[in-house]
Amino acid sequence: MIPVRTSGQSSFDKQKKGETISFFWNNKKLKGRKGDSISAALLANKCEVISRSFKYHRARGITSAGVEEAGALVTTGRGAYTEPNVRASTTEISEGLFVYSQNAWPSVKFDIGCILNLFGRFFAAGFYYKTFMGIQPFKRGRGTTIWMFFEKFIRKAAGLGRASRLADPDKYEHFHTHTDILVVGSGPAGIQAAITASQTGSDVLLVEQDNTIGGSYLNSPDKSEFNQQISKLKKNNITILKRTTAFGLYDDATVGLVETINPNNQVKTRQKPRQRFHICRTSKIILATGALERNYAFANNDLPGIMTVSSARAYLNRYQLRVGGNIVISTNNDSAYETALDLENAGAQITILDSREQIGDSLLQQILGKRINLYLGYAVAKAKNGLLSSSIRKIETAVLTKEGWRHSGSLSCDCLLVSAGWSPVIHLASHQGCQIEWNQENACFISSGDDKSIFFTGSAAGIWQNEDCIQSAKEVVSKIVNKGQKQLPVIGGWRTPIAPLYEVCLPTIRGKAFIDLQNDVTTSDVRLAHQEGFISVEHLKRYTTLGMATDQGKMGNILGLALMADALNRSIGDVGVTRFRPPYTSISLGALAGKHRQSHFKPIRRTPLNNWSLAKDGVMINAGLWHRPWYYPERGEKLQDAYIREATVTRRSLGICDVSSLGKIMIQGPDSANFLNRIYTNPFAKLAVGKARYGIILRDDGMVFDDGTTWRLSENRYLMTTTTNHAATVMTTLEELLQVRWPDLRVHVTSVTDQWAGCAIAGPNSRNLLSEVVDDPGEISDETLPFMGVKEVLLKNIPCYIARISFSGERAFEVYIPSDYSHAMMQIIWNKAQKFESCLYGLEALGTMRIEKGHVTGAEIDGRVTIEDIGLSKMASLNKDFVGSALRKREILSSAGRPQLVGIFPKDKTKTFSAGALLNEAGKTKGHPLGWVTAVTHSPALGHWIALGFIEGGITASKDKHIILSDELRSDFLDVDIVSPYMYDPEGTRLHG
Amino acid sequence: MAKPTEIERINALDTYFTKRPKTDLSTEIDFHLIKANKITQIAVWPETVAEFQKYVNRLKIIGNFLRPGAVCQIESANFVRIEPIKWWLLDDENEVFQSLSQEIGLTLDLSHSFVRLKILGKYARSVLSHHIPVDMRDTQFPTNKLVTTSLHNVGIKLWRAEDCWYIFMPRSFSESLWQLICETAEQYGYEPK
Repeated sequence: MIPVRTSGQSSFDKQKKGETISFFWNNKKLKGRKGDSISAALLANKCEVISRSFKYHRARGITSAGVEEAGALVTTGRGAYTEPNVRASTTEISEGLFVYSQNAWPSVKFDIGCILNLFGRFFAAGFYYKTFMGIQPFKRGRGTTIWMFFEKFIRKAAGLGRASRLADPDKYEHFHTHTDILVVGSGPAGIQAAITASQTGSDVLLVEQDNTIGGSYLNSPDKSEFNQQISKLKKNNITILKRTTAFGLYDDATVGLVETINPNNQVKTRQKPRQRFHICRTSKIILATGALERNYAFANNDLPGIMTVSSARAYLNRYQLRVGGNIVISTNNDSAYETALDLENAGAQITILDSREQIGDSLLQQILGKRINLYLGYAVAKAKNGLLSSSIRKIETAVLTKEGWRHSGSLSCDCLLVSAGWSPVIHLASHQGCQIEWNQENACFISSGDDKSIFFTGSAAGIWQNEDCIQSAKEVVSKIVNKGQKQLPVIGGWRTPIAPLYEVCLPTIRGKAFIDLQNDVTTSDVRLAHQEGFISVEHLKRYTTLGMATDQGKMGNILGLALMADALNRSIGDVGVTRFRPPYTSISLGALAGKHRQSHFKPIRRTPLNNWSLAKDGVMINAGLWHRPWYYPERGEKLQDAYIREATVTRRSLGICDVSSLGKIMIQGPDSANFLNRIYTNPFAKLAVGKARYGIILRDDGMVFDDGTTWRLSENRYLMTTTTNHAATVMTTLEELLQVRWPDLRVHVTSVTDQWAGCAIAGPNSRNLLSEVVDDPGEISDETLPFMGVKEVLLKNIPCYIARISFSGERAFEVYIPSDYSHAMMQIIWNKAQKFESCLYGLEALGTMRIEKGHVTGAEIDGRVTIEDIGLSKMASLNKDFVGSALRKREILSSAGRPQLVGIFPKDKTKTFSAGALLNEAGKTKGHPLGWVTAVTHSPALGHWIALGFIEGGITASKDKHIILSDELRSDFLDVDIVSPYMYDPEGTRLHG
Repeated sequence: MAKPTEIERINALDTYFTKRPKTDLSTEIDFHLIKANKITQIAVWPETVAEFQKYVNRLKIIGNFLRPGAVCQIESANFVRIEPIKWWLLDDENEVFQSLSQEIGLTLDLSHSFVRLKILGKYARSVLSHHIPVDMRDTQFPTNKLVTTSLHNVGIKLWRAEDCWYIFMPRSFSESLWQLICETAEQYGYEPK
């Protein structure tokens, strides 16, 4: 293959004239023209071997000029910018771009791995499955032994490029795109469809995966029609997205598009993303995706220097690059003749081997008098490389006889172009399950879309002639807009009918004949699969890997199906086709993730007091979506010192904690009391105004769902608090109950979690502090605000609610204030708190105090426990029905052996333990445990580590047992005592002050 | 509750809404933070919608307030049906529903629940389209339409006013969403005002 630049400049884009840029190929500096694809630039630099194949490490060159490229897969970029498996044919070069060959060592020209090619017979289809069978006939090593041994070698030897282990530094984003009509593909049919659709007044979006629009226009030497169409396109209000791949079709005419905005990270002036993932919602989709030219199977059909005919035309007319001087074209259809004429005109010596025995006069007239040799009824039997070259230098030819193909001789060449027919790109319709039918006359699969939202036009519909494609575009739009049953142009259009050509196989000629170059699948693999009983195409695909991965059967699918059909003695149509899967071409996972990464992986919720806490040196922790204060270190304290101090100070004097993240639901309406009475297990019908009550909510299946307090603010107005974790699910459950089960109840529920900021003021001095800050201290005396009382008061002129409730077990109050006033409130409270021994306390100290008190949270209420399991059975009313009241009575839920909430002390009080450890009887640490630990802490009040957990039968059943806490992961075993979960102040005397 | 008077409200985004250093790049999006956001929710009963209609019709209302998502004007306030039996009254200075009987409907102050962001400029719609799945084309999203939608999986409300867009973000999510919006707006050039 001796490619040369022709004298002409890029005729479709004069701006690119003369601009050269430098790039690096395997660290060697090369020059290319602006606008060149990597393939074009490498061809221009006479680089023939681009990569090594997936399995056999065979030398591979450039096989196409489009997305079907299966040979020239390269790695671009370096370091964190490394991108493997890039199609060289569709990626532009840019200044300083690094491009590397793949799967080769020490170099792509001399690759040690190519030795595998000699042992190819051992790597036939399904060879790794067969390793499980052991070495026959002794079945030695049966099972995974052999595979486990060879796997590491195989994985090292096989494959494509390697991704960087570094985080992707590029930016990606999403975009929601809406349009009336989406046209995919900007060839002659696509452009015409967009123009016609726009003229009907519809919003039209035209997407093109190439870096410029034009499709097959770009490959033609005559640009007059193209220029006319472009000017029409500009006159109409059409949105055009270039470098945009429609990678998948989804339900309701939703299309996944990935737009490359900043290829090779060239633009650095603004925070431009590298790629943008458009979720495109449209009404109609016109697929003008064109057709892909296929090759056929013959020995060594993968040698560098063999490519499709149309790609040679693209390199010639788009990149001014003649791919060879002595070119053989092997074809079975008319389309190759245009290329032959263009190449001949560019100075190449052309030989055409046409597998058809006759062609029409018009074709003959075209080549008459040109330097073109024509052989009718001929094809290639084998390609051969040169002595010192991996590229093609010679071919063995075959002639078609009545008995089939027969060896006829040889021809020397420096480039072989192959065209064995065209496959319309029907992948996107296949994603949506549109019907796909085999068209024998045109030797291709055709889909007509779904006739509702998916339509085909142009060569994607199997229409080959340019003028017919344009006409089909007009008529498809007319059909869509007028919703008529318009007759679309007849598919086909060859002047001389195509002669199916899938394989030339001569018994005298040996060599691997590939049908899927990317996955190294050969004709032998397909026959072997058939021989081993794989008769379904879906099984064939999985057994041989034909058409898998990024290739998705663009080139080899039909060849594989043809061979399978032949083996089964059926037609290709009867064999069927596998369903193509998104993405049509590979897309980066970064584009799909968009901004859902790092700090935006999920949205973070911050309490109104977040900044206030940060200003007080609070260390934050993510609790679900919430960012909550964890602890407030003083003088460089670590977590453990800080939380012990915070809990100690709170129990001794005063502590203040941000509790804004608790779920808050406003319940309004005359039936609110009735509603709450049905929700909670305990009675709520008679809760007095100005009172709060702790309640438990069950799920329908009788398991504990959530707990919290509800405050009666006025006759028909309640404020329900929920756990932070379950706030959203409680809210939706309440809505569902009202809308579906009890629509007769006049109750409204509204989430007010964000409306109110809350702080807990706990400790013996809590009332003293509040007396300092509320406008009327008399409102919070023991008489006016007793335990579980609620008051609406003014706190230095800020309206707020104060409830006397306690999670810490100390005398405590929760103060709720409209969120925008929270900083003012906290500043007032904190300033006054300085009069006392006081501290701010975070989630860790909060947890310590609740564990000491045996108060349950999400760690215990994990969806598997009943109200009895957590020791609160007295809260289940016997006099009313409530959500879950029926199913909680199931026998299984009241069996004596159910795990019960307990407290856990280490026998040796100097020992610590971890949450998640298991509880076992001594000597029985294997197998199903007796229980588990849910929460642990060092208890400053008790002076040693304590825990909450569940154990079968609770304290009673554990009384005479020697219980061991086993932490197998940390090899930690500890003797423990099972005690009451109410480990500190069980009588609740401190609560009342 | 008594109305606060002297204490200044501190918006969740106050500390994050700062001027950006000057650059040579153009600014195509302006963000305004509505600091004294005022939202009152009015919830009626299915059987009192007709009575509520009569009540509202006595006020000087411009627009069809029964149409879901259609923002109407009552005096200086904006009024919109956000759910089948719930409305939002925005920017109400005169407490126009003060006399509404509890038999007809209930009011609830949500002024602190949401952070309201005004977005205007050449690329206002574009920056929103990065995150909001709603069709915001003129034909589909005319002026004075309000929808409940999502931004980065967070439920928000989006209102197209005469010359700008408003989004109402839950207060607790607002900082996270603001950072996200700013990062997206960077490519167009933006200025918090």
